[in-house]
Amino acid sequence: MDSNEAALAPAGPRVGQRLRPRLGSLLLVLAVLFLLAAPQVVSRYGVFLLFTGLLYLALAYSWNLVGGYCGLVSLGHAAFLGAGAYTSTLLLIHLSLPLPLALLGGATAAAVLSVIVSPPLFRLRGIYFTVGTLALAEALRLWMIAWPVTGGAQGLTVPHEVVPDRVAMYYTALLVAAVAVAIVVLTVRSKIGMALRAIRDNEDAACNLGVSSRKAKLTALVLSSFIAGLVGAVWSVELGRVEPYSMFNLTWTILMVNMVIIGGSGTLGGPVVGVVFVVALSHYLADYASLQVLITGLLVIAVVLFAPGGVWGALRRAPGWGGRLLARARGGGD
Amino acid sequence: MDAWLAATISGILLGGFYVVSALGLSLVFGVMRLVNIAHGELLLLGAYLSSVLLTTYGVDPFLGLLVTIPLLFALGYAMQGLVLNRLFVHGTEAPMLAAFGFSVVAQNLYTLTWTGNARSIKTSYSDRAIDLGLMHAPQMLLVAFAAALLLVLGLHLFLQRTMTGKAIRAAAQSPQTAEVMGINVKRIYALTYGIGAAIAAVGGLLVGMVFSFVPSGGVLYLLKGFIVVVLGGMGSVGGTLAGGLVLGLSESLGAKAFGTGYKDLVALLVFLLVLTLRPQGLFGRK
Repeated sequence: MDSNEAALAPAGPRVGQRLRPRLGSLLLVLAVLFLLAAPQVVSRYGVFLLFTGLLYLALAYSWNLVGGYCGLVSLGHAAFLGAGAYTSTLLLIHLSLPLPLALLGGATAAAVLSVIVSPPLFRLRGIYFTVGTLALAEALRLWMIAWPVTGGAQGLTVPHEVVPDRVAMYYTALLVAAVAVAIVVLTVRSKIGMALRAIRDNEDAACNLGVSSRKAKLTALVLSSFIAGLVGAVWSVELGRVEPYSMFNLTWTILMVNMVIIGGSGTLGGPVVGVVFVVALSHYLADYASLQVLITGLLVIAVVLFAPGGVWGALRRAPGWGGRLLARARGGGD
Repeated sequence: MDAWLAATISGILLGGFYVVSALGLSLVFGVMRLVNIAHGELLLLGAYLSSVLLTTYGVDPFLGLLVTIPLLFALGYAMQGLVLNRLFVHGTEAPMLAAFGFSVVAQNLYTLTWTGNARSIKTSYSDRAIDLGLMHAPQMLLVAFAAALLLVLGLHLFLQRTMTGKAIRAAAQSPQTAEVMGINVKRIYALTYGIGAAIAAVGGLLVGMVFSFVPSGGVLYLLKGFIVVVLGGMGSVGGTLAGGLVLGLSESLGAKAFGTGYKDLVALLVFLLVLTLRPQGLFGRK
């Protein structure tokens, strides 16, 4: 807080109230500065962790938009990841597109996929929708295995020459994360965002009030799938190959869902907490991949039982300074 | 022509297998409107336990059912009683997410305990085929079909003729009214889930003997089970039988038409189609 403002602010309780949002924004600015400078100040391993974390962040925001804010629990988001990854790779192999275009192509393909499947998918409510998304991801996986164009079970390899160095990949991930967060924040704070929350709470009532449920759901799904496709494309470049098992793997969906649920669905701050947690876990339990996922699974159960708002939700409700800081700092969300 | 007839018979037998693997899911869904996302993992648990009993203790898998059925029943009862029952008040997503959590935990437990390698349950008789004139049918598939008929009949009689069965049906029709009538609905739910898990023990054994399994294979069985439930109409035991047969037939005939690589895909597409056009199922009421 600079001294001018401190001098002009009236004394008494009002000072405190002005202080907290500033603190939150300050932290945010510091975080962004750190992320921008990371390759210079952090080790290679650290950069890799951040890279992964940023992509996870994008994914978490993507899932949160549909699952958290709209209440459409999708267990098939891996379909969009895979669609983005495969399309981008195909574009790189067959059309030799420059990398940024291929990535965007992948993201667009994922969005197009979501538009195609939305008419049948949106006719399903609640649990039927969820299982429908599961079926979608599984169907896509089986199709990729069976279709020769996509390399069958072996998959496809990303052309060597196109893959940039670590630093460039890192900044790509940072850009993707920034885009994802921007898209979600803007959507959530717009009229569509209100429509989504209305639909989540009671779709029929929302429709009665004039909310175009189809338009809102479609917008959310298209944006969400776009982000997921983008992440999938970037990830495929990082891995150097795509194949059906890893790309359409339920593990991605599990990751997305877990991060958001543990962190706090339907909030803007929740996914950040979830991502930090998952990345930290992957670091400390690096040799025990199954154990990592197991622990997150247990935590999901615990969260659903005892703290439905996730860690973020629990913190916001916490009495005292901490809770009020969080409640004011990240004003958006619930 | 002969080949198509053989495919049809195969399909019917396969359908029996799917009926057994879906029956638990159907029961839980019909009574509690809960899609047990962990159902595939319960099936796998049955398979793993039967396999362990066979390889470590030399117990014949069918005899082993005497152990796996009660074990899975107890587990199911605990899962529903301790965790899932508490979540119904929070809406429909919460129990589903908890079941999802269970399935994640289970999958990784299996990987940690038994590695990701494919397993199957092989006994001296598991690979035999029986000559049906037109074709050779794997003996196990015939066993599965017989098991399906027995289980469906048994479950039907249980639900219709016993007091507990009637209590379950009452709770399914209207939990509040059942509660008023003095039925402990929470206990009934736990019981139902337990029965579903117990049936999954049988299903798991069949999975292990007819096919092979890996820790991540649960999802496909969950999906196929859900296909059976949706095809047959929610909450109807007879409908589950019909739904399973339809699934088996479409897979078998689809494999004949498009090749075995596409058979699972055909099943899923049929599912998405039915879900879109007739969500109440082929035999359900709206």
